[in-house]
Amino acid sequence: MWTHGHTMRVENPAGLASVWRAGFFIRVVGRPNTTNWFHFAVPTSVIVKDKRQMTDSVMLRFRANSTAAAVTAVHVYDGERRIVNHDGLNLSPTAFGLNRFDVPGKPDVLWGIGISIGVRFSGSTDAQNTLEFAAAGCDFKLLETVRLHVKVLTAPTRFTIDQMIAGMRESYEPAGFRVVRASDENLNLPALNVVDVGTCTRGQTTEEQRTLFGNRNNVGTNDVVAYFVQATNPPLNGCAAHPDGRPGAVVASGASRWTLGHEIGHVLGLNHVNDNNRLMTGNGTDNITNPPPDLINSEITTMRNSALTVNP
Amino acid sequence: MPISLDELRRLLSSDEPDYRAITAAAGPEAAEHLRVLARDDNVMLASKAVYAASLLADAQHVVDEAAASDEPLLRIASASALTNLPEDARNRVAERLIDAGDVAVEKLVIRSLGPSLTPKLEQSLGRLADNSNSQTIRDLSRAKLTDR
Ligand SMILES: [Zn+2]
Repeated sequence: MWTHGHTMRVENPAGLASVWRAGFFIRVVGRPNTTNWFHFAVPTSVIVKDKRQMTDSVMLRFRANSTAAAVTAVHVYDGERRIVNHDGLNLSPTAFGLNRFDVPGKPDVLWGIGISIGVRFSGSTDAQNTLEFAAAGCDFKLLETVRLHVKVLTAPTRFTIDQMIAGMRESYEPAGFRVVRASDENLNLPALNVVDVGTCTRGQTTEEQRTLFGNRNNVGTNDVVAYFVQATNPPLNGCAAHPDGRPGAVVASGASRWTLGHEIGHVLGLNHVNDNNRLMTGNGTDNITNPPPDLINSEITTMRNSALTVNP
Repeated sequence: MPISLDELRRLLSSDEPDYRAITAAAGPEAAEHLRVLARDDNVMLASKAVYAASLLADAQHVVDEAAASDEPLLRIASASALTNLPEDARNRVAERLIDAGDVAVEKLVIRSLGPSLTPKLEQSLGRLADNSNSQTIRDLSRAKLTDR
């Protein structure tokens, strides 16, 4: 869904020397050494053919007259909620092109998309401080979805849960899977904080795993749970063995940034491979050579066939 | 062929290492490698090295050392490893771990103990049976003292 550059609203008009709306674009000239925010409201069909749309990415078509006029931030809102901020940008393309900005997590769209553009004008002449915006847009998609519930006995120490979920998305999203963080819960179960996982073999579980995986508050039948524990007995980064009908995995506090995605990969039916460029490497996700680690087509097929990836 | 430090590091780096397979493939040279890996900055790897050491006859000092570590994950790995040690060594390391005040460690230690307890372990078990905040630990301690 796109909107034309004409529709752009300027947050602080006093910061501009001039604004010109033509058929082809909006041209703005900033006063020297100012910053500003420009806003695009993107028409949003939140539900199409009975299916709620997901926010994949936003796009901007613009050019700058010099490097002194730059886009420094792109923030995306759904209604009043900010769903991503890309900060620290310094974009001054000389010709109109397409700049795409990812929306991690691909959240359901609820209210309507707004794109806010942070800009900086640092030139001394009007010519240097000129930006032209032709259009702004948002891609909506329908993606197979893994609904992940986070249950924490002990928070991980080497990477945060946010970093681990971001890592999981970096592998899953290019493969066409959305990871929804469906809920968060703290579990006060000190005796299970180091949980027996035995040989960690698919289809076999210990009594402690069965007790731990019984904690499925707010969890749907085809949802998966990640239980964050201090450690496993014996020590593993994580273990994906789970009781029938209670899909999930444990993740130890010393796990790598990719262990969560790796263990949920096992839950979705994937096996180890001998390739450190892939998420399912059996040589340790601490040794991933070319991040983010990949999922290949045959693995994507296996994941699609899992009942735990839900078609929109 | 003897196993190299790097090979051992690679095998233990797996998200889910297969300890039996690794230690079956390792010769006496592995003990020194595990001692090095048990001090690695990556505490996950270090804890795996501690556990693997318990499966080699001549590397048990690594488990002993980990029991005295400041790093909770190494003490936990040491407690996990107790079940693989011969009784004398197990009781000696267990004495160091059982008073750590960590329910997860206490659970692993108590479950690993065999029928012959040292006086110090008996004393600690008695204290945990009466005073632990954890029902699990009280039950495990009582059961261990009665079942002998
Ligand atoms: Zn694995």
